Amino acid sequence: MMSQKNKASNKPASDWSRRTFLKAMGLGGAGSALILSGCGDTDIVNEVDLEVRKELVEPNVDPQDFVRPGIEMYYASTCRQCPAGCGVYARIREGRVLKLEGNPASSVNHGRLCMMGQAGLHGHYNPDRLTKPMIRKGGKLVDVSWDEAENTLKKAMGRKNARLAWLNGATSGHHAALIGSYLEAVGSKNHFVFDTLPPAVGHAANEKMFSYAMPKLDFDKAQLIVSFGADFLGTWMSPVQFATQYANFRNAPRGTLVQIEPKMTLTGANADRWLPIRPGTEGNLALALASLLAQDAEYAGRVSADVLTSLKDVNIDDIAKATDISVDRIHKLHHMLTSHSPSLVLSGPSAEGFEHGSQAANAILLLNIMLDNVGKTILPRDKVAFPDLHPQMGGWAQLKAFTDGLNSGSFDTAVVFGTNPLYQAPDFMAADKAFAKAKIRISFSMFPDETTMASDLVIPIHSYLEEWNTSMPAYAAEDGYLSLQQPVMNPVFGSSATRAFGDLLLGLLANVDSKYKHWENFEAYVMDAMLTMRPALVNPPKATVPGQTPEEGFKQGILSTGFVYLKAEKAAPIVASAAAVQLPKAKADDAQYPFYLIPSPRLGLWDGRHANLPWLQELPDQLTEVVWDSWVEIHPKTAEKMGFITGDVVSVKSAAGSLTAKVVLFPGIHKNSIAIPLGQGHTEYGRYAKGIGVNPYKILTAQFDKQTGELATHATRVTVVKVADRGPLVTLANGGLVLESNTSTQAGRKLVGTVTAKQFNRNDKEV
Amino acid sequence: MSDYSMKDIEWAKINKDVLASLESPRKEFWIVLAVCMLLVLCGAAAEAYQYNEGLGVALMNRPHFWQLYISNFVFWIGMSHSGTLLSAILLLTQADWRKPIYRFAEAMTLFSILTAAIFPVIHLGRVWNMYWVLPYPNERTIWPNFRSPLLWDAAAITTYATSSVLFLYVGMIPDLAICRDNATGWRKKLYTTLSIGWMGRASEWMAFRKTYVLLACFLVPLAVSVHSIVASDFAMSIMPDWHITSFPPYFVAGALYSGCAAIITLFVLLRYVFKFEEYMTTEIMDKTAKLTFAIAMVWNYLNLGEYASIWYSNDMFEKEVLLQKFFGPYHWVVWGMLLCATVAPFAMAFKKVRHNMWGMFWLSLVLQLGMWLERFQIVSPPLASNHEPWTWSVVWPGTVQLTITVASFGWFTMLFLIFCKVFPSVSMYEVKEMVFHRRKASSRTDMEDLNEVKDNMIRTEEGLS
Amino acid sequence: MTLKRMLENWSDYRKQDYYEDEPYMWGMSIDLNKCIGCGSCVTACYAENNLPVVGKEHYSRGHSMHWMRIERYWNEQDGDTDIDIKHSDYPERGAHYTPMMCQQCNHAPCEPVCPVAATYHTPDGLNAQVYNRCVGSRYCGNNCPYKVRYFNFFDFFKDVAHPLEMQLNPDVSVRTKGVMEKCTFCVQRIRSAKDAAEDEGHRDHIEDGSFKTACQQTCPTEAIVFGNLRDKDSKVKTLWASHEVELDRFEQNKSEDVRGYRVLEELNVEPCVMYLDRVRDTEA
Repeated sequence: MMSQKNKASNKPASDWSRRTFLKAMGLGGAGSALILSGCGDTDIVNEVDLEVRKELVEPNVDPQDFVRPGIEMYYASTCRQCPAGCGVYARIREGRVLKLEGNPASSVNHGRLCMMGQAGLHGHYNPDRLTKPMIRKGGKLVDVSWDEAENTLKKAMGRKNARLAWLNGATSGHHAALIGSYLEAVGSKNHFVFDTLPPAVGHAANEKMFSYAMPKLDFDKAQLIVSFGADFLGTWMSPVQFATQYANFRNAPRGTLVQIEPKMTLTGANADRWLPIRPGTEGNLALALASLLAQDAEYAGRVSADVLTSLKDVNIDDIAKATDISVDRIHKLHHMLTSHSPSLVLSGPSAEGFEHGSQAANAILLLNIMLDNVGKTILPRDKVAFPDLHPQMGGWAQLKAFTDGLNSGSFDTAVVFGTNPLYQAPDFMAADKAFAKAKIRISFSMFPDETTMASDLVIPIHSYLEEWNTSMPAYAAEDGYLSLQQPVMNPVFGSSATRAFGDLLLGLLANVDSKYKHWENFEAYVMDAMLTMRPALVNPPKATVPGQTPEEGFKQGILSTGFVYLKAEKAAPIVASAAAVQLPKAKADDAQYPFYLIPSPRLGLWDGRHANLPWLQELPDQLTEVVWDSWVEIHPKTAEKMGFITGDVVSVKSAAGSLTAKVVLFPGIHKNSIAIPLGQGHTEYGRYAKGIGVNPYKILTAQFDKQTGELATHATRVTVVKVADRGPLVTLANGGLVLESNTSTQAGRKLVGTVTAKQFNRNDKEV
Repeated sequence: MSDYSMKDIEWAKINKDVLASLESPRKEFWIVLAVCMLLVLCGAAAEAYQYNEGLGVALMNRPHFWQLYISNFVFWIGMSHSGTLLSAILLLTQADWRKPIYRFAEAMTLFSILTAAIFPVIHLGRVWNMYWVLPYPNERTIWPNFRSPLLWDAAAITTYATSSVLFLYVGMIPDLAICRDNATGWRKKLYTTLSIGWMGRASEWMAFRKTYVLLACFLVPLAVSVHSIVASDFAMSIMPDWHITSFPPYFVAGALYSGCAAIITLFVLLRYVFKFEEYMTTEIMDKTAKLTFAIAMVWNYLNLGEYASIWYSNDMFEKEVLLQKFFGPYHWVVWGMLLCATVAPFAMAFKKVRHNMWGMFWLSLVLQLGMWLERFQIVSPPLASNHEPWTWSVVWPGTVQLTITVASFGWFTMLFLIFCKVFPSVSMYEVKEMVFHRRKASSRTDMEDLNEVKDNMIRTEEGLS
Repeated sequence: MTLKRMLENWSDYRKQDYYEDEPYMWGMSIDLNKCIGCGSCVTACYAENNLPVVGKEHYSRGHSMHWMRIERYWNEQDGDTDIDIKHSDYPERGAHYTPMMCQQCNHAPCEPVCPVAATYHTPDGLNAQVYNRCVGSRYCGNNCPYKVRYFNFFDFFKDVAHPLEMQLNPDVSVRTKGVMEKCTFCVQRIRSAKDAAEDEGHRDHIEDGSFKTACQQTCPTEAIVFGNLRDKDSKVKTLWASHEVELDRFEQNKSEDVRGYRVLEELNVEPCVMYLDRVRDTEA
């Protein structure tokens, strides 16, 4: 790659006149940049032979089409850092992508991006990216040539095999379609989708109650949002989209947000009232509110008699005791719900991560029906054709099925793509042992993650900025939105180092089903598909430049916009149906394991997939301001009782295992809970992630939601023991050097002023 | 005029004793010199490391952009004031007990400046561009920023260093001639060059006296302005507890204070190492100690005045820093300073202490420690609790900074010892003058007017020529 | 040297309000009612301005290089005044977030103290830092009341792992050790927008919103508004006017409950960044 530059600089300098030298420098520098970025044509470099010493009048670097040195270009594409699928504009100069910016026309993100989207570049240019295929030989992964790797791949996957198991992360669009076609062609029914953060329990509850897994939510129409742990500004499905809506929601007349959760999330930090609730009792609180509402015929009339009967047994005092929310506060909440209409009640992971998670979600969502929010802030989805392209979110239940299948020996080939089960799965699942049982394990991956390093065949793939694809967002703001993904630059490590996943899978598919030989590569497949879908699109672009064929015009049009809309069938209004909710009695305190463990995801490292991006490691946690580490959040009062101070090293033990991390005193957590953030604790995954912190998922105990079979992520109970004295903890506020007075207080300065909503509404109306 | 119980020393003995110091010091001299050189080497290594890696190895950070280097700078500049004070001010006020001790005090001034000048240089992020601070001619017609106190610093230090060298050198010329007359080998060459043909003629003495007094007149306001400018480094900023109007006099008083303490230290050391017991008498120590005590009281007054004015101003930012100074993480530095520099000098109120040479030696070290801590507490605590509470943090200087700090003491002492070995550290001609006066005073009841003596000398010389 | 020229033009140098005729004065408004404290702006700034990732060790020593930081406080100015939560063990009104970066003061305390004039005021109101000129005396960093100047204590880009260096923005210098740096209001974007406007023939007018700073562009809630304070119709000027903040005052004459304020404006540094009060529904 760098050969040309090296060749130039290896020549004896004494032979050179000054001018030739300058020319060589310019050429070497720019030339190698072009080759590195892959956009350069190697012929350019060969044209100028230094030995000839000819004076050239035209510039030495002959720019490629669409490359004007010093002038930036923007390509529209799609962010794949999380399933939200925001539209991006990639800023390109001299064949390199330098910056990602939101696509202003995209209805998902309206031109904005979150930090994960910004940090996509660090994944793309990551020094730890896999650049050579690897095969396990004698127990060790060794680099092999692409020929050898492709032969092995063809042998393992290029044939009919019903015992092939496929596990991928949340996906959609043509990747999803192609995976579906492939599995159908090889005759395998073992397709599993696993992603940690999409709220599978909530989706199932929505599906049941509203007939849509993810109904459209109208945040900005709501006057009041009551969220039971749904961190919609942080890690709940489509943070940028929801944050945009949130900003409108906060305009005068300003909506009110109440967040009820045991550990403060980013959304909780922005709530007008944040209520710490005892973990696992969210459903009970919802029932209490429902029973108060049911006293009024207006609200009671919206639900069935079954439900009303079940609400009769609810005792507010008992619930107040169980939830640690005072009776006054419950009445106040009831009053707020009745005085603000429309409102929106959300159920999130911290309410759903229990054995009774589905029931809790039902209880919470029930409030929406009683409050008549359905049809006002909860809207139906239009029916979009092409179900193959729809997002597949997956969940823990599917991972469990995958490992169960491996354990029972029903799969001989295991293929993993875009997910990292060996890192995510709790120890009790023994995912590594199960994975080892497959005869051949194949991983398509950009990075040496835990699962990849445990595989037999490792196929290094392109980043999302180097490949073609389409995708549908996990939460579509407007139905039928299909966004396009195109290579914004040539592969960083060259086309001979990494390959596009689509190309590889299409090749394998063509082996099994010869009709796929029709497409030369995945780009042709996607483009062909788009052309075929043209009649089903809303306003497909037409040729704009004279001499363009309609196809060319269409292609150019969709690529420059970055997305298309599929025609959708107008939805009928939601007919909500709620069944009676039966919640178990709140669990008694456990003397051996007094604390609930909350594995808290954070916007940034997400579920750990971004731990190898240095920008995100260095971005402080929004609540505790810690960087490059894991920590245990404990309420100051609890810590005082136990004799902990910030920085103490503690061991956190559950029935399933233990881990060690430093304490952070954090006021935003229920006194009976501790929280450990997700994201760290990698044993592989490159230099920026490996060996940092701990992964709280590892010590979760085996509890599952009774209805969906999802892992009860918030139900694990732990004990905390101090093992060592205070060590340095690195935070935004100057590392571990913070004064004892700490930085929680503004110390009399007006750094963040606060006014009341009443004052705001009075004044900002005119603004 | 004088009641010193200095023995009636023969003039020839004066020459012999002082010149002997150039030849045969006690063996401790060589041990101390070796230790100092070792320290300097350590410091050089630390600086080389810092130069290559970047300033981060010194463990300064944001908001502690300045730390020990700056406080050392202030400390050494302060120490340099002693020579000027004792020599120039006492010369102008005709306090002639200064005579046996002013030479080394002036040397101390010079070497303190040379030590101090190292610090603003090595604390720069890009040392190799340090000359940009000076208004030198350049083709890009770029000027430095004349509004910056750091630029004033650069100007003040260079001026002060030049003047101090001149003052020291001019005052030394008659003695260099004596050395020349007694030396052999390389010393002969050196002294011949430096004594620029001094023959001891009356006209030479007259020109010499005039020059010397003129230089002294120039140096006194210069010294005051130099330390006022150093104070401006802080006072001109808007940092709470740096932006204080009384800083210039406070700094000058502090400088004189620590300088006097340093003179006492070296007084005792030289007396012992070079066997100057006959010249550096308890009486002179008594005077020096009284002067130090007086300055200590002035400094105390200004220090307490500063606290009081902050307290009465009730400014949120400043009061906060003041409280943090006394009760925050740097509290032991501040309390240490108050103990060493405010309480300890009261010991000098007792004659017993003033007359105990080694007692004064240790006391002077305590005073200097106090003044060093004072400089540290001027720089660090206000940075730690600044305007922006989010950045409040505590930083202690790391190994590199401490090594260089210790090395600076080694560097100073090394220069000083080499000086004493090469040049007469007690002024021979002035001591002779003193003995002369003393003898006259004892032989007559009425005091001889100094001017009359001079007139006589001039008449004699005129007669001779 | 140019002593002669300096003397000849002395009256020019002495002129008050030297930049009064400039058509630009860049300013910002940050609405804390909308800011959620997510930190997207921080990462966007890293990407746009070639900020180094310093790693855990350096971070722990306070050598981090983020030009922008999100400060998070748990209490109000003088402790919580909200009776409802005053005695609660929990921060029931959430956190107090504020993005803090260089406030581009018009009376910048960092400018007069630089011995080599490496930091100076540009005619369009920016507090410029000339990396080439900086000798690293760090006085500016001390004198900045917001502590938003960042010093290159090491050569952070010396060992950057390949191919991460390919991401570096060619419009922005990569700074070496010993140099002070800070937020520039994305001066490279301002300059290219100015050039573009000039190419189109209007020297003293850039269309409001025709370019954005990196932080503003990425902000999911549009809390950050950037623009020309001299342009009467610009969004940022309208916001400053409607929230009654005047640039050249250290104490504002505001109507009751108007939300505009500037951090530490009482120091008379004339910051060009206006904040709008955070809002909480105390009836919730």
